[in-house]
Amino acid sequence: MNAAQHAVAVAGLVVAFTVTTSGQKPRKDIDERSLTALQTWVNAVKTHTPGRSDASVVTAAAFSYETREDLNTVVGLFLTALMGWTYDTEGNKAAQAIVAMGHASGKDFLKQAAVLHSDVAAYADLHPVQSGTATKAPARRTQELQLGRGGKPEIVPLEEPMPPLLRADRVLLDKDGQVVGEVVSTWNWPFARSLLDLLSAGPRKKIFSDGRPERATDPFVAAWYHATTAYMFASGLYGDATPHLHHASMVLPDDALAVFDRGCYAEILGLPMHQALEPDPDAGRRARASGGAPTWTTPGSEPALRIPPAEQTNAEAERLFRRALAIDPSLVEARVRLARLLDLRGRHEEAGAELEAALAQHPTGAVAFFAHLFAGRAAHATGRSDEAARHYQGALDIFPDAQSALLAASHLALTRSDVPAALVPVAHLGARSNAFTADPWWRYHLGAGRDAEGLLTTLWAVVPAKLP
Amino acid sequence: MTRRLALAFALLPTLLPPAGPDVQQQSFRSGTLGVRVDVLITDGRKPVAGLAAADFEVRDNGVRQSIQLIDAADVPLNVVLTLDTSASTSGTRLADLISASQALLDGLTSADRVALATFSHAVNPRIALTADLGSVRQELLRLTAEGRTALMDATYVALTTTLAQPGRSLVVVCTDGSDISSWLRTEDVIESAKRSNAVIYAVASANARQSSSLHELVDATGGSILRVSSAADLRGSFQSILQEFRSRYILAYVPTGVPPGGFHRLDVRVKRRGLTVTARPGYVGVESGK
Repeated sequence: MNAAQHAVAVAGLVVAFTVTTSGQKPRKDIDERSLTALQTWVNAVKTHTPGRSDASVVTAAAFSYETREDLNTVVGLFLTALMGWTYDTEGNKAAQAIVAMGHASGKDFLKQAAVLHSDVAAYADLHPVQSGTATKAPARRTQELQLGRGGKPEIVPLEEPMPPLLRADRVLLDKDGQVVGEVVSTWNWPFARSLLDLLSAGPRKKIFSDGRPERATDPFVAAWYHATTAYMFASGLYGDATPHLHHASMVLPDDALAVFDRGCYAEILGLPMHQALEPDPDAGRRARASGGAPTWTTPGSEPALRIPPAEQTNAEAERLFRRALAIDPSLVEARVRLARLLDLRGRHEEAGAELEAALAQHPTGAVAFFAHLFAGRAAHATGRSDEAARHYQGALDIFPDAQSALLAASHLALTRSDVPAALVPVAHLGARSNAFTADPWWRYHLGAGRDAEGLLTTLWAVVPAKLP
Repeated sequence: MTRRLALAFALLPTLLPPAGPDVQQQSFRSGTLGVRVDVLITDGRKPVAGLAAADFEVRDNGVRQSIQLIDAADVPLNVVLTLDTSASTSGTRLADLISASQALLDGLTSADRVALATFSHAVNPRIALTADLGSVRQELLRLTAEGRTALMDATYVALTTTLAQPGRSLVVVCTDGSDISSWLRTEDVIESAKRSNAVIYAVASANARQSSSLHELVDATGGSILRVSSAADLRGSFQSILQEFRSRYILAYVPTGVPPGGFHRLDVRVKRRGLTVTARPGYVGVESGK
């Protein structure tokens, strides 16, 4: 497992703000470099094929910090024109050229740009994004995850926001339960979010506002957030997911899937994979010796890790799953995950009832597997051994090699003092596949990430056609 | 007499004195008709040798039992090596782990058997209990590190390896991190440990977060945890585990005066003052007919 793919929720994470530069009035000193940067970016957006690691992805990934500074100077004016809002070019020819580009682009450009930048982030393993932050732009801690009132995890601002194009957020890397380093997160996610914010911005909204974004009304935004969140979960990019989902909570407060994703994230933070995290004092030395991660560390400082206790993250997850179900009662996976949390906290009967309701909706695949597995545990806990055995068998009927269900069945047999029956599932372990797909429990922390590829493919299919 | 009884326990359980109609068959007795308790007696940190049955007192649910002392030297060992091969063990850690395992194998006799299981998120029971130590040595050389850590799942599998097996069972679990991937919870595995006669020794990284669950688990079997500050210490730790396990006493008795089934609280005492007794705190008994 690649440590570089496992950023975690830590202090130093930021949330995105809308596009921000120096103001609405164009600067008089727009130079050739800024114009070139804008033209390069606009061209990359317009020629990008969604989902492809094409020349546009290569171009955007290669943007240096200086290029982004140049782009940041003029992108506000471009977007103001794109939105059809008022502007004042004061006879500035360069500004007029930018406005003309903006007028020629239209709002579909924002969707295309958001997809380009999410693709740049996704293809970072092929085309590393130039952060240039270690010396050019010291990472700034603008927000951090803290426990707020009532013990709920909240993201709290610490300093003033930075323009998303210049964002240099730090996230910690973990590997197998240990913090192994720290890297600069990509600027592409916050930039993409800020572009999509414009789709819902009112006519008087300032492009450069750092205020709360408007609620999204375009279904594309919901699809983009769900697909990109799934990608982050699938890739272990929890550090990126923190501000991503916080932003989603503002633009999609009543979207069942967005609420579900937030519930999954809170639940994931409560899993041992996060609760067990701790700094590894040898990480730097070992990484240097192996020539691998971490790629960027803070000399002489311990990584700051603040993950709320499981009791609090689980309570938050329960609240969000209940809310998602209130919005969309057919969201069966929310019910199944809610039941796991209830069972975990000793509310076995409630869990059993939720799982019975979930199974009545005839889920399939991994969701059905989880429903049976959790129902088995809830039944076992309340002494209904035969029912537990049936559910474990139900899980094994779907995923015969699943270690979790095999061990659950074995443990149930052992507690019934049936040693021969306890040994049968264990014997199967030696012959089964170790592939991650063999046991959905191994991927439980992925949430919607299990379906990331399908969700992204669906998203790419609805991106507006290329612009001229 | 002691020698013959030991063999009876290990290999021919039906030769033990016949049980009365209410005598239970404790599931952790490895198929024998009686209860067997591995006991470590230490003076400070040093194991104490030379004690006789008369030096011990065992109470089962508060009822004093008539015990026999089995010569541990005559009872072959079942050693279940349970090694963490998750991603965090890659490099020198894995090499040191393999070296330590080889050192432990060096300490076994021809009568002993060993099983090998490795774990990341997936538990892989690589070799079942065997006296063919060469095959285990070869398998050790094939280990690679990847994946996350499922410590509890792996420990459960190791415990099941010892069920219904003659001999004394030692489970050596070595991990460098915390459990982040198991389905089974600590309480599940502890409950299972009470049904096994295996003693668990855990070797854990001193840098890893202090996990109370691992302590609870080894305590439930009368074992212990060794903390190592570097992978280079593993070899010595593995050797000392085997040495200490061989120095333990085996007490055996047929329970009398206690109802079968349920959890039996064990209280093992030694009559000489100043000595420390380490033994499992209890076991789960099984009612007749089950």
